[in-house]
Amino acid sequence: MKRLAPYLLLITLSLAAFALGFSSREVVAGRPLTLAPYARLVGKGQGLTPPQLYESHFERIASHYSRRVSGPDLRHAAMEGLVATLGDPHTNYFEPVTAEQFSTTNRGDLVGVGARLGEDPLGAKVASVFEQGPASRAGLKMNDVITAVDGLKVAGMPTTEIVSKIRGEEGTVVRLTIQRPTETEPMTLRIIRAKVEIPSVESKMLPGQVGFLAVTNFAERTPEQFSHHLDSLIQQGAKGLVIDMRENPGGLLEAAADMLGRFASRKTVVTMKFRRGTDIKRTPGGMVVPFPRPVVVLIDGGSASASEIFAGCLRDYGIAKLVGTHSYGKTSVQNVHPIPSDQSSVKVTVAKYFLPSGTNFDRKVDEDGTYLSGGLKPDYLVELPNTGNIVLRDPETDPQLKKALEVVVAQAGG
Amino acid sequence: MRPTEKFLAVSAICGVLLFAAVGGHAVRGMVDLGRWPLVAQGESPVVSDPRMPISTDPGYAKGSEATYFYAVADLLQREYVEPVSVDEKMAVGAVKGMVNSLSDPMCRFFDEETYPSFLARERGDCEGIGVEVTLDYDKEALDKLQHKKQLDPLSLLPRPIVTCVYPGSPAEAAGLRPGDQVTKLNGKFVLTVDDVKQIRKMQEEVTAKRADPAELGVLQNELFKKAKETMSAMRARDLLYRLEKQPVNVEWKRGGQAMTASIKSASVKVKPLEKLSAGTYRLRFVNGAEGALSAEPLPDGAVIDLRNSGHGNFNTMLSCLKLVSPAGKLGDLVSERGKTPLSNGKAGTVTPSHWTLLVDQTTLGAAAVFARTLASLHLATMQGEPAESMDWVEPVDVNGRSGYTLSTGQFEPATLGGSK
Repeated sequence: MKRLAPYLLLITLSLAAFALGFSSREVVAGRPLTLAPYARLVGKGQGLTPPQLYESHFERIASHYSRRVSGPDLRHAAMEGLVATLGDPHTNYFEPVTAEQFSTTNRGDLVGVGARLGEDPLGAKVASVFEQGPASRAGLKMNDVITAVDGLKVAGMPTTEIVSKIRGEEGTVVRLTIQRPTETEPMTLRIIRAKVEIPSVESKMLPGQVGFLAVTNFAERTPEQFSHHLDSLIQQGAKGLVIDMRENPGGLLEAAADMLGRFASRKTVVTMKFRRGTDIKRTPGGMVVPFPRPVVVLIDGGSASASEIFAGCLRDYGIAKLVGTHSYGKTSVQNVHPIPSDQSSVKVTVAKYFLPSGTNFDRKVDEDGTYLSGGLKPDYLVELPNTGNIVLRDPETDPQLKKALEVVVAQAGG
Repeated sequence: MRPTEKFLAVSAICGVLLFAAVGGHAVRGMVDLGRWPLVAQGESPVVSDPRMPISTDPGYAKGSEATYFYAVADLLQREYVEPVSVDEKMAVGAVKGMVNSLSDPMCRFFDEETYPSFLARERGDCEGIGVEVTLDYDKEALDKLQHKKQLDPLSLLPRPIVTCVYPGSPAEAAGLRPGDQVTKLNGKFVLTVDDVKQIRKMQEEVTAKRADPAELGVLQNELFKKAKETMSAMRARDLLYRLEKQPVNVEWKRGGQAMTASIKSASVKVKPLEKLSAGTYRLRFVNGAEGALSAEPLPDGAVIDLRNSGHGNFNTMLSCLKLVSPAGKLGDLVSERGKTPLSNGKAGTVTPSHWTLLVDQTTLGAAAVFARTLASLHLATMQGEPAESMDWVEPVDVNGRSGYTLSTGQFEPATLGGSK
């Protein structure tokens, strides 16, 4: 018996090690252990395992459906469905083609003509033309409507589609047929595509000496541009500030923190809660230029991620009021993981943000993807009417900007 | 024991333990993927149904799908911010993704909420106002979608069309008829592709300077008003299929005529075989149809009413078809993969004698296939013309709590003598 003891011990230990390995997925994930896999291990399992269940229906659809479907297409649709079960609009599966597109949009070195487009029934309306860009040199103007690209009519096409037609290789020529509101005849512009740097900050002085800053995204150079414009507005004697974060989809959290550093030193920006542990992002120190004047941030349903954090923090610090409509509600961090077998990838939410006040304003949607709740609530709710002549960022006709000015003037006066 | 021996012994033990742990991890993978020899293999629907070969499309290899699924699911399990596990819900979600990607109105996925009602209707227990509703999509838009061409998403708003009004239902009492289009429910408009087309056309007219922009403005305002109080066609159908405490305000149109009624919902039991008058019967392909047909042999020269029949289970219909047919070929299921013959193994126990089938454009789906096949095999005569579509649509169960329908081809009935 005594001779056997070490062997028994070894066998017990081995079994324990086997069990540890067997349940390692639950152990690593911090989930409760389940017995179902052990039941399957000894042949007492019931039904199909999830991968088997999926595969059986994949086979059924691939081989019985009345039309021919390609295996990879069906698989990618399945993976999108699988990922959608998490109910998180920011955890997505990208099939190989889109995975490539995803990485180019993130790189940001776009080749195009240098204009921002908006929707129009006849094609695409030019929302703004970037200074120094090829389109600006060729004479494209704001509010021109692009009706054809290289002779191809684009009426009714989605704007993203039109944009991809206009983009192309550097140095090549694109012909845009445009309808200018002031002209009766359409005209054609020949524009040479070039690398375009998208300026993310624009500024101007509004009537009543109120400084206006529009931030369109949070890229690497945004904080530098922001500081430059802010300093110039302060030098011109701004009595208040309106920071426009509308339609700003976000970007680098680092950039938002640096920009907040102009207003508050070493303060919490967000608390990031990961699966294991938390991390706190703070504003940098020593960058504050005191600005004891009223600040208003404009937000809308297109303000997401970093722009919401920026707006929410300024409010939580007691520096700014928010005007507009509720923001998008993106309060999480994603990592992109490639799937090696076919170059597809999965963007997974790995952490959630909480504002200094402790709020999490996660967007909730129903199964059709329709908005239910979430986003920052503005202090002053102002909706944009869908009719009437509104020029965004024009203090006369933009009702949200109008309200923001009112708030700034009232606070500056009081 | 010398130090080296001791070292070797400890290393050996550690090695064994490490091997056991790694082995455990690997075995778990095999168990989850269904590769472990003791795991129940279950019934692969393809193996159990030898009608068609497994897809030979490139990019597909037997067994690789489960592995791929596992890779993605396990990634979420490891990385997602909240604890999740590789479970059935994920597999069901994947199936839903596949079915929806077919962009085929005949292939519908039913989740835990809608599946019970679907199963009940397949059985013949119908809840709601007592109608079957199909979503009628713009053919051109659907074709674009299926071929992944650019399209305006608004052109995919379907029209909810009534395909069947159950006898004895509140809907029948209210005057609804097959073919009617539901336009408004409880004060909410069902926007369809027609509304969109109308406004697009006006836009073109205005652009071409043939119409007054003011007219477009009026139309746009109307659409904005409608869009504020709107309900998708899918939701409209769900509402009509539910037991509601309050009557539902239904507005519908027939031709250019608009009608409205407040309709209560109820549970209607659809009888598989109902005697309407001496020698005249109504047949519905719901649970028990096969049993009813063999229990009560229909008399010589029986008239079977298959009109107003936009609903029916294809498996039940096939059983009925086999019951009344001689042994031999019934027809072919024709799909893009080719023809698959459907045959009757042994002669059915019911012999139709001079049956007349009453059919018209409201004889749809399973009923249309049944009628045309019996006529083609000279087992009965049709009076009227059933709907054109011969699509074969099978119900598929996923896990008892969700399922889908799969269109598997067009049915071509065999002609008499053609099977020999």
